[in-house]
This record gives sequence, C-alpha cells and structure tokens, in this order.
Amino acid sequence: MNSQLDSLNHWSSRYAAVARRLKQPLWWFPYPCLLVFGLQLILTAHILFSTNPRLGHHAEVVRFPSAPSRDSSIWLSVTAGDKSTIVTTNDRRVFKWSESLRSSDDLKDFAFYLRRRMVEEIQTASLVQRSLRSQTRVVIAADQSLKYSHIKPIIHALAQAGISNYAFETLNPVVASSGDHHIHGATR
Amino acid sequence: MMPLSKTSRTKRRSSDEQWLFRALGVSFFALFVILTASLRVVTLSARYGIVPLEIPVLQSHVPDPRYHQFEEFSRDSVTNNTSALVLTVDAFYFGDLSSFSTDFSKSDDKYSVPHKDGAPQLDRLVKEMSAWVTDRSKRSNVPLSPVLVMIPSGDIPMPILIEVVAVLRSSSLFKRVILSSGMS
Repeated sequence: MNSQLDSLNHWSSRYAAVARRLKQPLWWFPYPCLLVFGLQLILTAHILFSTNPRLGHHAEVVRFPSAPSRDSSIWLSVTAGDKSTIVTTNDRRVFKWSESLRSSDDLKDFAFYLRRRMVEEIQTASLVQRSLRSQTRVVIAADQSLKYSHIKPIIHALAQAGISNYAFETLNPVVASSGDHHIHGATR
Repeated sequence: MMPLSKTSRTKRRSSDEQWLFRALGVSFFALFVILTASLRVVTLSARYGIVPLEIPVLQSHVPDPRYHQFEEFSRDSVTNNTSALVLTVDAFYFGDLSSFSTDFSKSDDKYSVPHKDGAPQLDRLVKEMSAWVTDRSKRSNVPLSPVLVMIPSGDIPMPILIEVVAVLRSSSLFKRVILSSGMS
C-alpha cells in the first residue's frame, strides 16, 4: 500500500513539474526547426540550380578562349592513369583501357555506351521536336597531360557509334588577353 | 504558484534576456550566409568553351515519303585536293591530301613550317597556307574549300593540338577540321 502511495506521489510530482514547465514561455524551440529548415533550403537550392557537373572529374582542360556551347549532349572527361586511359562520363560511368590498345574489341563497351546515349538523345529530340544542326554531340574534356595517342581510340569509338561531330572543351579565361591566342607550350 | 524569493526573482530577471534570441537569430542568419557562399564557391562552374571537329560521313539517299519530302544534301566533300596538314614534333607539313597519300613519294608538292624552339609558329603557318591556297586556286583552278584534314603524330600534346585547331578555325581559311587517325 505504501509503495503504491509512493508511486502515486512520484507521478503526481512529475506531472506537476511538467505542468509547471509548460506554463513557462520557451523561446528556444523555433531555432532547431529554423536551423534544419535553413540548411535543407540551401542544400536543395544548390543541388537543383548550381551543381557543377565537372565536380569529381579530374581532367584539367587547357585554358584557351573559345565559343561556348549550350547544346552538347554527351560529356566525357579523359585522364591518364597508370599506363591507361580513363574516361568518365557525365552520368558517372567509367571506362578504362590500356595505353597499348591494339584491338577495337577493347572499346566495345565504350562504343556500345556511346550508341545507347545517341539513341536516347535522338529519342529525346524526337519527343521534344527540337534538333539543332550545329549541335555538338560529344564534348571531350581532355586533360592537359594527355597526348593525341590517348584520344585516338575515343575518336575511333565515336566513328563506330555513328557520331560525326565532337568538340574539345577549353576553359575560358576570366579576362581574355591578346596573349591567350599564342601557344606558349612546346610540342616536345 | 509558489512565491519566489528575492534571489530567485533576480535570477529570473537576469536570465530572461531578450538580446539572446536576437543574437541567435543573427547567428543563424550569418551561418546561412557563410554556408551559401561556401557552397556557391564549391559548386560554381567556370566558363567553358568548345573547339568543334568533325568526322566525315558517307552520303546516302534516304527517301522521305512524307509531306515535306526532306532531302539531305552534302555541304562539302573530302577530295584529293582537300587541304591536309601534318603536325609533328618538329614541323608543320601541308599540301593536298593526295600529296600525303597517293603521291607521298613526291617532294615538290609539300610545304613545311618548322617549329621555333619546339613551339609551333602558327602565324607563319596561317600566312603560308593562305598564300598557298590562294595561289593553288588561281593556278590550278581548285575551288576554295573550308575543309582541312589534320594528321597529328601520336606524341603531340593535346593542348597544342587543340590550340592549333582553334587558331586554324578562327582564321578565314578553314571552318571544318577533320582529325585523322594520325601517325604512330
């Protein structure tokens, strides 16, 4: 009986304490909500509008002024690995082959991927009824350390996939100067 | 309600500071500004451009039975007289495409512009190619063509190749550049 009374008193005092606390005005409670709301607002806005598609790709392209393009459809980042060429696409697919590539069979997966992307682009263009003659199908962001022998297999794969126009990406300087049009590097 | 002692009343007054919540609001605002600026710096894309190139295709007639009867025409063609430019680590060599294929053994139909200290002399190349194209057009009645077939050797660095293509396209000579498989 005594233990039941103790339990009742305990819960009564707890209830009274909670009731007393709820009567006190609490000013801090909106701030955690505000913090969470603000953070998710900022992150969502950045993901929706401002994400740089080149983030996570390691190709450092040549700094040279050239005309911008807004109609490219397939973007490839090309870098050199350990005696290999690594191609990363804008949908995060990675293709890798040896520098001493001799057979086009080694590019079969890459060529198949390019063909599939082209079919998707053509279907999309048909559905939206919009196709540009000047549209560049593939943009290649080639790392500055690469040589032409690294790029040749990619051009072969483009031809296999039926792609007739492509482009190399350059980084436009913030302030273009007349010296930007002169080659400073050496061919060796 | 229980009456509060003088100490408790003083404690409540001193803890009930309204400036604390204003400071919290300002702090959150500053935090969001810093986060927004940081994310903007990380995710902001630089300005990029492209240097376009082409792969030649074979012309094929595909009949269009629909109302508009659309028909595709070729704009330019690659012929024996199409200009060709070979880029090696030593020099530029240019001439007709036939001079680097069927007439490769001939030596009087090719022209060279050597590199100066390893750096390509693009201004000189554009001037000499312009003079050659104009002279060929007058002398041999070869029509001016905006197509250039470029044959780089495999050890040419990509930045050099891209800049050479960009400069040639920006000149009035060529608007369409085709990269060949190159020389190994």
